[in-house]
Amino acid sequence: MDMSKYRPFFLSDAAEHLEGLERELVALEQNPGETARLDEIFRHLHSLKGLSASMQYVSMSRLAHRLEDLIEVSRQKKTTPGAEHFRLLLGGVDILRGQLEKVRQNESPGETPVEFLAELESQLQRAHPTGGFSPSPALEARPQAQPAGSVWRVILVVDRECLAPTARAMVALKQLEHLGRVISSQPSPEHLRAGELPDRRLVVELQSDCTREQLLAVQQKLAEIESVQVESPQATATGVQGLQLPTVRVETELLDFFFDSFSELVIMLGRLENLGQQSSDPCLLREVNRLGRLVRRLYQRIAEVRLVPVSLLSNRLARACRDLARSLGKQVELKIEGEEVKFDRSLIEVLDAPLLHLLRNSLGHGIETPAQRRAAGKSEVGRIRVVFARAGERAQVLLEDDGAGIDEEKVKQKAAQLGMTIPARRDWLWEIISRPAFSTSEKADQLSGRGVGLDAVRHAVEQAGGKIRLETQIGRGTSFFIELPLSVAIVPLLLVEHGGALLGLPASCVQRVLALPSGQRTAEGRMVLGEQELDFLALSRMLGGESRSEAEGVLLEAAGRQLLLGVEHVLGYRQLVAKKPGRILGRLGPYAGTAVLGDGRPLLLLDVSQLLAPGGVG
Amino acid sequence: MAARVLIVDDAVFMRNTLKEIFTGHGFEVAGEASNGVEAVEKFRELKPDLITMDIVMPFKNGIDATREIVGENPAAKIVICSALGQESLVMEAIEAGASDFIVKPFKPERVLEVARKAMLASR
Repeated sequence: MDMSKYRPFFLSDAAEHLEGLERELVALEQNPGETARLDEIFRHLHSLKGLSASMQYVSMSRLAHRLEDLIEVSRQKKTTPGAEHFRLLLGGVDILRGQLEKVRQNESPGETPVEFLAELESQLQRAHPTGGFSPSPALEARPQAQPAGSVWRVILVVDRECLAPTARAMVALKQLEHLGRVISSQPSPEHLRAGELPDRRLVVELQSDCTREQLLAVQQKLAEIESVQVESPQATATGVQGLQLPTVRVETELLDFFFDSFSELVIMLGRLENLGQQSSDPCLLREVNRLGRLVRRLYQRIAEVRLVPVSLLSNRLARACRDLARSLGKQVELKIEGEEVKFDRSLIEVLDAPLLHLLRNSLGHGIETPAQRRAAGKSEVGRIRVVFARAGERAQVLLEDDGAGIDEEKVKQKAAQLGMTIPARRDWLWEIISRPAFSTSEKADQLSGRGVGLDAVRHAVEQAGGKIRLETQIGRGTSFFIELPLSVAIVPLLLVEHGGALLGLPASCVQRVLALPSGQRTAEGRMVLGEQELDFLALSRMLGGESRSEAEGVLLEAAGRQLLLGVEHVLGYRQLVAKKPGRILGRLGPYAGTAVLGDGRPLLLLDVSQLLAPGGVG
Repeated sequence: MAARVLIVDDAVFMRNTLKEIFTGHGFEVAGEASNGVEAVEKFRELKPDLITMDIVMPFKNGIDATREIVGENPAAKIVICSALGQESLVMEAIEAGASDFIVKPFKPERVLEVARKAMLASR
């Protein structure tokens, strides 16, 4: 049987279980009392084992199986695993992830390192000196490990006429809990509570000693259930199940294609709306308006599809925090709030590296060693808090620690040594420490060598139209507050017209638009404005071609630098769908992408960070 | 023998509608209550086989009353009566221990189906 078509399903399912597994392990290690997490850990491993077995990835399935045996030791005793077990379990997660990555690249997952397996076996031997567990990855072959009963997959479809389908599914789930142990449910109770029940289907993995008939009979006890299907785990293991998932998985490329095509639809709509307004035909106008409403509604839904839970980010943070604290000999409690919040997929990508870096910063420089903390009268365990939130159309992330804080005097001294002037503004500290020169020099004496510098953090966030605020108090801690537009695809732009061409500037970088007085230019292309002397760049110089009269100026600011851009005519602000530049455009000049106006005219988006780069354009 | 029902709703009209639906269809109305406080008292006094419980009521709402009744007697069978658009409240009531729910406006056959199945369901 050709299994390759199930590969995408396997990849996404397995990745999800790995994420969950890692999250639960790290959380349990931090909160050893929460033994309910053992069930979750078991469930993830169990699913990973089954998934890999169905794809015939024997090494993965076997590894998951042995890890499952290891967690079972703790699960039976209802105790939290010891440090040694945690090390093995997390080590196993890393190996599984590596194997999964190989599968993603169309390779075979490869063997699990023998030394690791040997270590695992010896731990299992120690836990079970006699007998031990079965080496086969078959689901049923572990009688002593769990209560009697096989694992069933129960699929319930809620009646079409049901007026409260998620509540109905919850009733069904509770009823199934009476018949056995629920290993997993899709959607989970949390998702049901959030009103999610795609296709009115509830899929429950149930460990129960009931017969199929007994399970099917559950329908007689439940109202408004259209159908009940009961499958034995064997059916799952053949991979046939892949096609009956209650939700449809869509490859991200396809999703991007939808989104891109949709952007074009929005542009067409804008054009039609313009036409409608120009013509005096009331019918046309009405239809265009109707189309507009439809398209906007569709846009909201499509934007929703792109939303992913921030737990994707927070899981990585939790793991990184654990590993790093350990290697630094520091004790840290990481508290993450708002994990259920959803951000656009692109934002998750944007935030990934910056957050990891800020976390490393906090751990490396913020949080003191236990001894230092004791001396300062603080608890030995440092605290780092990460909060994800949505406020209207903006995504927010707060990362704060209760560490040593940043010594402003030292920063000033160092800035002076580097020949930097301190800007006279409230956020001068962030301005200074996020400058490339400051960041790099700092890098040499610290651990963030493997990450990005604060300048890169700043660049990534500002590229996405966001801003960072920093607050610090010496001896008390530091907090970083990041705010970004929720959707990266639709951006507010300042439109300018120059030599008949249209150009767009990201509104987040525009400080001010002003009329340019003539003849105030100093020798090296600088301009004096009142008290200030600013770097000046005439757009005609950058674009080449014939010279135009630059009557208006746009004061741009990014990455701590300012530039006055002279343009012929400023048109105003507009929200437009931005597209990334193709390969050719990217090479032609400092362009960040393209967009199309409502009347069909194309425009180029200028990459402000390139314009502002020291020794950049012009 | 008909199963004995306690009807809890602050609207007389709703209580009468339910009474009409139940009577003569395998159920017998053992009593009525018009708020959560009364519901808990009547439950202790009448020990009904089934309770229909409105959510939004004065003094004590249906969710709190459900929690209290199930706390006293985990075998109690409570069917929540909700209006359209109260799904999250229903969810809360189910987690508080309600067995099942019906959504207004009531269709007699649906009410009876839910009531009968709730009687069958495990507690």
